[in-house]
Amino acid sequence: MRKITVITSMELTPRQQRQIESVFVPKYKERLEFVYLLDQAMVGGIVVFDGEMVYDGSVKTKITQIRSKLIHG
Amino acid sequence: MSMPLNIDWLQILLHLFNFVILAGGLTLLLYVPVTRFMAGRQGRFEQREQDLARREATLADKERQYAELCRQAEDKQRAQDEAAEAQRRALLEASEAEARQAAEGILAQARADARREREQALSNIREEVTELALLIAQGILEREISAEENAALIDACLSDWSRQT
Repeated sequence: MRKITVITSMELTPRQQRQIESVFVPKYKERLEFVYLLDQAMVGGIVVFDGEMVYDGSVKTKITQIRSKLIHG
Repeated sequence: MSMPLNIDWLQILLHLFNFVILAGGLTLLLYVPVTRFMAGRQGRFEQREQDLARREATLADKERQYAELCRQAEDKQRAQDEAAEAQRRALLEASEAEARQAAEGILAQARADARREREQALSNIREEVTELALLIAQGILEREISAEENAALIDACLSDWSRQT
């Protein structure tokens, strides 16, 4: 069984949780266990970690990327 | 035989003989030594004149040699002066060129430093402005992002990730 960790800044609704599971379940041939965590420092968005890879859609990461592009071109 | 004025031929002959003896004696004792002495003296004078002429010729030759040596020395001195002047001028030009090159190098270095410092300052300012703007934006987002906007963000991410499969 693979553990999928989902981190958000606000608590997810059951509909959102099902939506997330519907996206990730087809990606793997094994059973998945979803763990939902809260992190206020993320500001907004979502981060998913499947044990090997990080799917980062957090506002904080986007701001960091924008900052890097603005400073370093 | 009587001669007028009591002239006796014998006396005349004796006088003639006496004259011959006197002439011969004078010739032998006086004329020959004197002429020999005069010839020797003339020879010595001629020898001296020849020596003098030879010495004059030698002197003239030495004067010519001296003049030639003086001319050569002057030419050599002039050539040395010209060479020294050319060398001095070349050294001066080389020094000027070196100084000019060094000055240009210093100027170029100073310009490059100024340009680099200006670019660094601009970069620092840009970075600070960006940091400040992003901090403000982040603060605004932290305060004002709503549950609906957050849900929209999550939907957009999920949509992207589902397309990646």
